[in-house]
Amino acid sequence: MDDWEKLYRTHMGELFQFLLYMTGNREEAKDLTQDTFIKVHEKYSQYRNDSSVRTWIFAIARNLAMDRLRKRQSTSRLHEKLVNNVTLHAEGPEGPDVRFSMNEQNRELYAAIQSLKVKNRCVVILRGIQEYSVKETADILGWTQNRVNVMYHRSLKQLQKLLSERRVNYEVDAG
Amino acid sequence: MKWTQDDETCNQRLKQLPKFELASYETDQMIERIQSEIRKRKTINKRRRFIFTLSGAASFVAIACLVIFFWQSNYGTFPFNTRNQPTSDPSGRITDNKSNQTNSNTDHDILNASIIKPQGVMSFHMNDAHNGWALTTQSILRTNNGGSSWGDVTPKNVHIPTDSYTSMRMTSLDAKVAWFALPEPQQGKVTVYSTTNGGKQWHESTVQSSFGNDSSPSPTTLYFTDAKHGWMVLSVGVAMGSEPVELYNTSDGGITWNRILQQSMDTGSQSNGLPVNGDKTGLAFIDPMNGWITGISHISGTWLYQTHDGGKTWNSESLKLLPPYNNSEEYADTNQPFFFSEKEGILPVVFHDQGQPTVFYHTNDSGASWIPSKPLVSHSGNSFTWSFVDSKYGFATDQDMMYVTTNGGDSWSSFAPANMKLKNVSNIQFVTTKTGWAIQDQQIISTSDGGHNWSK
Repeated sequence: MDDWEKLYRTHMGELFQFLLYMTGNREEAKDLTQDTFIKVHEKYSQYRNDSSVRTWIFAIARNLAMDRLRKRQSTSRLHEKLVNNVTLHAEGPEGPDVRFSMNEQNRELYAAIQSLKVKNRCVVILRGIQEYSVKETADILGWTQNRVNVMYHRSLKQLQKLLSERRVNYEVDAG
Repeated sequence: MKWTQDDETCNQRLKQLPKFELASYETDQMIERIQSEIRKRKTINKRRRFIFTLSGAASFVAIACLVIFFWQSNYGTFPFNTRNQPTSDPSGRITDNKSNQTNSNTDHDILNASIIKPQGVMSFHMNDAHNGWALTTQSILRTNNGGSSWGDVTPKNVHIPTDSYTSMRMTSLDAKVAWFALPEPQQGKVTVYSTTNGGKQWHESTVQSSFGNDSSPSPTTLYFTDAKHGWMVLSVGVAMGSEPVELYNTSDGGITWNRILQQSMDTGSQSNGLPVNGDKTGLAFIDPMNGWITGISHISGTWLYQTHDGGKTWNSESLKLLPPYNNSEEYADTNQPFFFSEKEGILPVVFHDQGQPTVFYHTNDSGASWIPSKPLVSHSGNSFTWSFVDSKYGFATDQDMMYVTTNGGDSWSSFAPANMKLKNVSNIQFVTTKTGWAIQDQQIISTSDGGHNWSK
């Protein structure tokens, strides 16, 4: 096993999980994971050791994910509708498969996560779902630990607000 | 903010979401694909380099012969000065490459063919009580009657893509002179349109990012100090906790743009004193040499950089922090400063604490010193949008109450508007102590009594 393969195997799992929750689609997350490592390979000469390799890899992955989400947004507004109305359309043929394996409550939470701004979404995925420590999350995001704590706390508040709004909307629609 | 039982419940729900993992055969397949793709690219690159070198040399000889033949047949001598030819050199200088686009609209037409209630408004800027510009999801609009009606002055043949309108930027000096920047995703470029006759004619310039054709540079700030001198910040990728940018300037009103600063997307390198770390929120200049870039700090303190050479080099500038925000663990967002003259200006800073405490730093000496106001704190917890008529008289709203100051932000009085809620209000702008506008749900609303009553 060469050094490159070691690097892939060390970070592939965590990167895939992160990208899966960013994009909501297993195949897309696999594609992006591969694209990330190809880019890491191409750009390695530009890596300057002023952040950890992991931080650098995640930064590239996040950029690629953002590009992909922008492209997806421009070609199809369907995903947005799915995210905003997840309980009605989650089984649709183009629906992100990540939700097929979730119960109703988790789908609602997942939809709320997708409504967060990207920075908030990142910290929720890493700290909340992937359960990295504050230090690990700070290392990956290139933030201070204090910022991770504050952003995570704020994101939880936003999630609660989004979930309660969805509940109110649902009750209004149902009523 | 306290950690509550609800926070803990939400935290636990997140932890219970499924952990999706790759099967070992999937990992092996992916590694095989990565290695295969890298091998393929290496081979292609080798071939490309060879073909490029060969065809480049042949093309150069052929073109040189043709050009010399053409000029000698027509003019007898070969011109050595090619300054006026359309060109893009390695420093990013992009010259006039498209002819002017003419709209047949006149001011009279604008009034007659008017839009009464524009929809999908993303931003607007009023130059005075009558004249202003607005950017919607589909068009560029202009008013000459205080927003009672708007005319469509979008350059002919310009189609705003649905995924671009959130990244468009517009700025104007008066009823005649304006610019807007339109990103072209996945094409690595931004097109800047400029007009000096109220949108009747637009000049088009293309700015090509150094990151190549498949990148998506996004203009985050377009700023002009006068009809000639302007700057544009292009965000060339959002990294975690950092935002690499390219900075361009123009000294001919947007006809040509020069790249004066360039940062790398994948490394944490510094370029000309401006760090990649920190999300850039704005840029402002008081003259062609002196300006500031503001941003969100990811370490303690505030993020503010100043230039004295037109944007080529930058130095960190620290702001005096008053208790309780002088805690070393606190951090803050500095926002785009605005100036009322070359000497007088205001720099808003939002601290990350309950109530979005916002401090307005004042300068009376062209930014040599900044004096903080007392913080404005929101009871609703929402962030503020603000507008100052002059260095003393200002307005703010937190989407719940209106706030007014007559002493530069040291004290504020608040009131609830009489006839409507301010939910989703953004971009407030006042040109007098009575007359103002704002965006609510992508529509422009206005007031003529200092924010007590608003109408759509």
